[in-house]
Amino acid sequence: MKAITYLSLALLGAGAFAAPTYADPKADNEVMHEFFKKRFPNVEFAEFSNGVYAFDENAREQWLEIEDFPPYEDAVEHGQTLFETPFANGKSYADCFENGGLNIRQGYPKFDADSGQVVTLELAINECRTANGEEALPYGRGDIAAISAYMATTSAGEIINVVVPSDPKALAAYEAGKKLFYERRGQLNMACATCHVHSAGGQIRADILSPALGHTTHFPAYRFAVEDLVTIQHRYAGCNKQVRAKPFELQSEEYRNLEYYHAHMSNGLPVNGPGSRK
Amino acid sequence: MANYKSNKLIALLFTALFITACSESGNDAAVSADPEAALKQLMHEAKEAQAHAHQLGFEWSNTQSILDEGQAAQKAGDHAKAHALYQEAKHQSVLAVEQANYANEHWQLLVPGK
Repeated sequence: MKAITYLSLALLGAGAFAAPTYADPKADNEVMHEFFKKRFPNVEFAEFSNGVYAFDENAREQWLEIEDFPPYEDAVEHGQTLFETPFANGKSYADCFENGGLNIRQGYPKFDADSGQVVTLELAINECRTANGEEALPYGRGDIAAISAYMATTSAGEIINVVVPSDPKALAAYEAGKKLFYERRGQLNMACATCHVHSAGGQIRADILSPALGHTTHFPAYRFAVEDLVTIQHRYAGCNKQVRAKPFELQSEEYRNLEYYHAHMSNGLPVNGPGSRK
Repeated sequence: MANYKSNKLIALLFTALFITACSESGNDAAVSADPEAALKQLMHEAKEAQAHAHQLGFEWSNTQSILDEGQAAQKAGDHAKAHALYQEAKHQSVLAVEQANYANEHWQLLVPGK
C-alpha cells in the first residue's frame, strides 16, 4: 500500500515537473509523405508540386494547354518591375534579403529568433518596404502577390527547405500551425485536413480536392475563381469562408504559423510558383 | 475512431443547442413583461457569446450578419424577428465555443498515423 502511495506521489511529481513536449517536424513529414505516397501510389513524389494535375489526366491536359500562355505572366512581369524599382531613399528590395532577394523562396517561411515569430515572404516584403520609408502593401493579392510571384520564379526548381530550428518558440509556432490545420471549425465543422488530407483526390461538387502535400510550392497562384494572382493566405481565408468560419487576418500569427506548418510539410518538393489553379 | 468522435461532437453540439434553447424559453416571460429590455439583454448575451467564440478563434462567418439583421429588425420595430435573430446568433456562438473546446481536446484525431 505504502509502495503504491509513493509511486503515485512520484508520478504526480513527474507530471508537475515534466518538460513541455515539442513537435517533431521531421517525423511529421515522414508520416505525411508516406500517407500521400500510399494514397497516390502512381504519383511520383516531385509531381505533388502540381496538385490535382499530378493524378487527374483530364485536368492535367487542360492545365498544360493553359500553361502555354500562362495567365500570371503579366503579373510576374509587373512584380519584377516593382522588385527592381528603387524606393524613394534609393534602396531596393535586393538590399533587404540575402542573395539580393533572388533564389530564396524555398526557405520561406522562416523563424526569426529575434522576434520569436514566423516570417513569411510577403511579411518580409512589407517589412522591407516600411524599413525603407514606404507604405506596406495590402496583403492577399495585387502588388504584394506580384512581387512574391516574381521572387518565386527565381527559385524555380529549387527544393523547398523550410527549417524549424530546435528553439522552443519555433517549435511552439510550428505546433500551433499544425493544430490549426487539424482543428474542425466553422458551421460545416471541417478542418483543412478534412479536405486536403483525408479526402484528397475526392470530389467536392465539380472540383477535385488537392493534396496538402505540394500546396505551398506553387503559390502565389493565379486562381481562375477570382481571376487574379493570390497568396497562400488569401486561399486560407477563402477556405475558412467556405466552411463558414470567420477567417483570421492575413499575416496574423495564426495564419503565419499555419503557413509554417503547411510549407514545412512540402520540404523536398521543387518550387514551381506561380501556378494556375481553379 | 474518428467517426465515433465526430458523431460524439455532433451529439454534443445538438445537446448544447437543446440546452440553450430550453434556457431561452425561460426568457419568454421577460419578453412579454418588458419586451424592449428582454431584447436588449438577449442582444447583449448574443454579443458576449460571439466575443467568446471570436477570442477562441472559432467564430462562424455569418454570426455578425445575423446580429446586424437583428439590429435592423429591432430598429424597424419588428421585435419578434429581432428576438429570433439574436437567439440564432447566440446559439451559433455557443456551438462555436463547444466546437473550440472539442477541437482543443481532439484535434490530433485527424493527424495521419494517430
